[in-house]
Amino acid sequence: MTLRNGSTATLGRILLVVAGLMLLASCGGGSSTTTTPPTAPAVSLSATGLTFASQTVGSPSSPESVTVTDSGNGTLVFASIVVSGDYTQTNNCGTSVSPSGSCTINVTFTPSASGTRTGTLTLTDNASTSPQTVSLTGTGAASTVSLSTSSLTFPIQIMVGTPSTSQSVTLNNTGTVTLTIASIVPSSGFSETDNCDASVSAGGSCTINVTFTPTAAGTLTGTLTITDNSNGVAGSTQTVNLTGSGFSSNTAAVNVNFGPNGNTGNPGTNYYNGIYTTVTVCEPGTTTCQSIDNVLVDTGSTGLRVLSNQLGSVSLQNITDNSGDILYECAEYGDTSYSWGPMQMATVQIGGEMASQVPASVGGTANSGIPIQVITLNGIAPTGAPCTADGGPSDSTVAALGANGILGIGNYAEDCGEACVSSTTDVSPYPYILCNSGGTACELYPVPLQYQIWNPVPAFASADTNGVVLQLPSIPAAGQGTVAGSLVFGIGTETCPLGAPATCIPNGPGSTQVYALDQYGNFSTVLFNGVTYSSPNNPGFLDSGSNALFVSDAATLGISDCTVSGTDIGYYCPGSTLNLSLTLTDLNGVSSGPVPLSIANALSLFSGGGSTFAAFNDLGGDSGTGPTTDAFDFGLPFFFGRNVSIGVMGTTPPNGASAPNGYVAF
Amino acid sequence: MKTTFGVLLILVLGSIPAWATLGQYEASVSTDQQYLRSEDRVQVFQAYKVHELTAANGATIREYVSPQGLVFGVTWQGRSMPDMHQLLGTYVTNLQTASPAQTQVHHLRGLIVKTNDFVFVNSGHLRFWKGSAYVPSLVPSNVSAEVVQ
Repeated sequence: MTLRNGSTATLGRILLVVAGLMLLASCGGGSSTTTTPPTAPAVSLSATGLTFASQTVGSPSSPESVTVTDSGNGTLVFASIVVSGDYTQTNNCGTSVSPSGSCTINVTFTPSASGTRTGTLTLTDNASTSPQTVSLTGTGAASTVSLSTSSLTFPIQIMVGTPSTSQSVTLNNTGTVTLTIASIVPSSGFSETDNCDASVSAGGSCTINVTFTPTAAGTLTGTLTITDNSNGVAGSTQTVNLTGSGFSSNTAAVNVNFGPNGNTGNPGTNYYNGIYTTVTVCEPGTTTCQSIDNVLVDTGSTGLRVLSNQLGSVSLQNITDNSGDILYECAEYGDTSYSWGPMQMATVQIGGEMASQVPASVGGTANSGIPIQVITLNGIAPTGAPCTADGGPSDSTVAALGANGILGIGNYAEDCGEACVSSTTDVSPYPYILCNSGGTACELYPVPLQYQIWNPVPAFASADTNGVVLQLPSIPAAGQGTVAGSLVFGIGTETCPLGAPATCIPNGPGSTQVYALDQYGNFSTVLFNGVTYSSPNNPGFLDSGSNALFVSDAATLGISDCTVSGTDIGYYCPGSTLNLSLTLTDLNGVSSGPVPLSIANALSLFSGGGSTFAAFNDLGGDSGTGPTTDAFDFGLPFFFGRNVSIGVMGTTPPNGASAPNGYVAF
Repeated sequence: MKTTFGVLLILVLGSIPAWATLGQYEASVSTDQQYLRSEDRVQVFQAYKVHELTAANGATIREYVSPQGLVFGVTWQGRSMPDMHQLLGTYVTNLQTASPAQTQVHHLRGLIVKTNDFVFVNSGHLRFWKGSAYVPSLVPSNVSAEVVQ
C-alpha cells in the first residue's frame, strides 16, 4: 500500500489560509494577490509489515523497527500509535513530526502461545491516509509434554511396607524448545526416580519410574504430578493417575483346637486336631464383608465352603444359567455325608490376601468374585437331586461340620476340573447340579472352569498364587491344648526385603524336598511297616483336614481300635507308642528317605492334660479293612513340626522339577 | 446382575438304569456297562469272577460275583463317589444306620463300617475317592474277603 497526500483540506489548513489572506489584505494595500500552495502532511512508512523470528512463548523478542517519515509539507500530528496481539511498541514520535522529519516505532513480540501469532500496528494521525497499518507476524515456540500413559496400575497386591517393582512413564518433549521441569512429585504411598534433568531438550525424552509402597491394606489411588513450563506456561502441570493395592501380610494365623463345638468331654465326638483360620467374605466390588472364624483348613479339598448363617449381611449372587436356573453343589465328604448349597460369587480375603476374581485366562473379570459354596443351613438336597447318592447324611450345621466353613487349599485350582467342563459323570455323578428356582427339578450339569468352586490361592491378586505353606510347631508327644501356626501364601514368592513387617514370612524353597503328586493327587508309593501303598489302588496322601494318621494295618502292627463303652471310635489304642517311619516316592521317583512317625494310644492321649488337649502329633486311626485295599491318609499329625508346602497344579516347584499335578514339599 | 454362563449340553437323559447291586444277581452288570459307556473286563478266578467297569477317564467299579451268581462285593475308585443306592441296593440301609455311630467326627476322616453282615470302607480326598463294600455271608467260603479290593 502506498500512502499519499490527500487533497482534502483539513480544518487547520483552512484556518491558516484565511489568516494569510487577512495578513496580506492588511499589509498589501489590496492591489495584488499571491497564490500559496496548500500544506499537508503525508505519511511514509519504512515497512508495511514486520515478520518476527520464532520466539519462545512468554519471552520478549528483540525489537524490530518501523520508521515513520512525514513526506508531506505539513506537520504530521499523531492521534495514537497502537499495536494489537502479542506485541508491544515504544516510539520516539512524540505528538508530531515536522515535514521531512521522521521518528521510529520499535515493536516487540512476546508470544502468549505457540504457533503463528498476528497483530497490527496502527497509526492514527492527521494525514489524509490515516489510519495507517503495519501487519505484524510472529511464531510462538513452546515445549509440549507428551506422556506415554495417563495412568499406572500396579497389577498385583503389594505387601504393606515393601516396595513394588517399578512402572515407568516416558515424558517426551514434542515441542520446539527446551522444557524446564520444576518438579516431579508422586502422592503419598508412591515414590519415583527419574532421569529427567531440570530440562528436556526439544524432541528429547526422559523416564520416570514409579514404585508403590503401601502403608495400609486396600486400594490406594494417587497422582504423579509433573510441574514444568510446557506450552510456555510456567507452572503447568501434567498428572498421571496411580492405582495400587496393598495387603497386610502373606500369612493367616491358624490354630489347632476343638473348633466351634468346643471340648465335649467325649472322645467319640470331640473334633481333635481340627485346624482353623479366619476368612473374610465380601460382596464383590464392595466393602460389604463378613469375617468368619473357625473355618477348617483343608489341604484335601479345593475352594471355600461356608454355612449360610455365617454370612451376616453379606448377600452374594447365585451362579445361574441363561434361564435363571441356579447352580448348586453336592459337596462330598469321605464319611459319605454331604453338604448342599448354591454356588455363589464372592471376594475372599485371607490373612491380608484377596481373591476378587478368577484369573482372566479362564474368563474372570475385575471384581467378579470367585465361586464359593454357601452351604444351606439345615439344607438337604431336594428330592430327585442327584446328591443323596452317597447314602450319608447332610452336614448343614456348625455342629455337624465342626466348623463354620471349610477352606480347601489343596493342589488344585478348581474343585472338579476339566472333567466337569464337558461331562457330568464317569462311574459316579459329578458334584454340580442345576435346579430351577423352586428346586423342583434338578439335574447334573457340566460347568466351565470359571464357575467351578475355586481355590482362592491361585486367584489371589498378589504374586502369592502358586500354593501355600502350612507351618505348625513341634508339640510334645503327650499332646498340647492348642497350637498356633501359620498358613503362608505363596511358595518362594516373598523375599521379605529388609525392613519388611514381621508378617512377611520368607517362603523360599530352602532345603525342602519337592514331591510331585500323581494324577490322582497322591504319592506314587508309600512304604510303611513293610507294606507298599501304591496309588491309586491303596494310595498314600496328605490331608490337613484328616485329624489322624489313618492306616489300616492294625493286624501287622499288632494294635487295635479304641473302644469307648463298647463302641469302636476308630482311633488306634496300641499298648505302647509305636515309633515307625514311612518312605514316600513321588511321580518322578524322588524318595523321601525314612520319615519318622509315631502312633500312641489315643485314649491315653485324650485323657492326658486333664482331658483338655486338642492337638496330637501321634494320633492314629483305622482307615479300613486292610493295607492292600485301603488308603494311607497322613492327616494333621504329620504337619506338626514341619513347614509343609502344597503346590498348585500347573505351577513349577522351587527346584524346577516336573510336577504336572501339583506337589508337596517338606 | 446375576452371573451367568452359557447353557451347555445336558448329558443326563431319562432314568438311570439299575446297576449290578450288592447282594443281587450278576445279570445287571451289562446294564451298568451301557450306562457307564464303559468297558467290561471280566476276570475269572477259581471261586469267583470280577467284572471291572472302567470309564473313559479311568474311574472304575469292580463287582465280585460268586459261583452262585450273586454280587458279594463291590469296589469303586474315581473322581467322585458312586451312587451308593445303586451300588449297595438294600445294603445302603446298613450304611445309613451305621453312619451316625461311625461318623460322629465328620470330614476329618473317611468312613468304616464293620458289622457282621456288612463291611464298608470309603476314603480319599477331593478328585479322588475310593472304597469297597462286601457282604461277609455272601463271600464264597473258600475266598478271602480281602479279594474285594
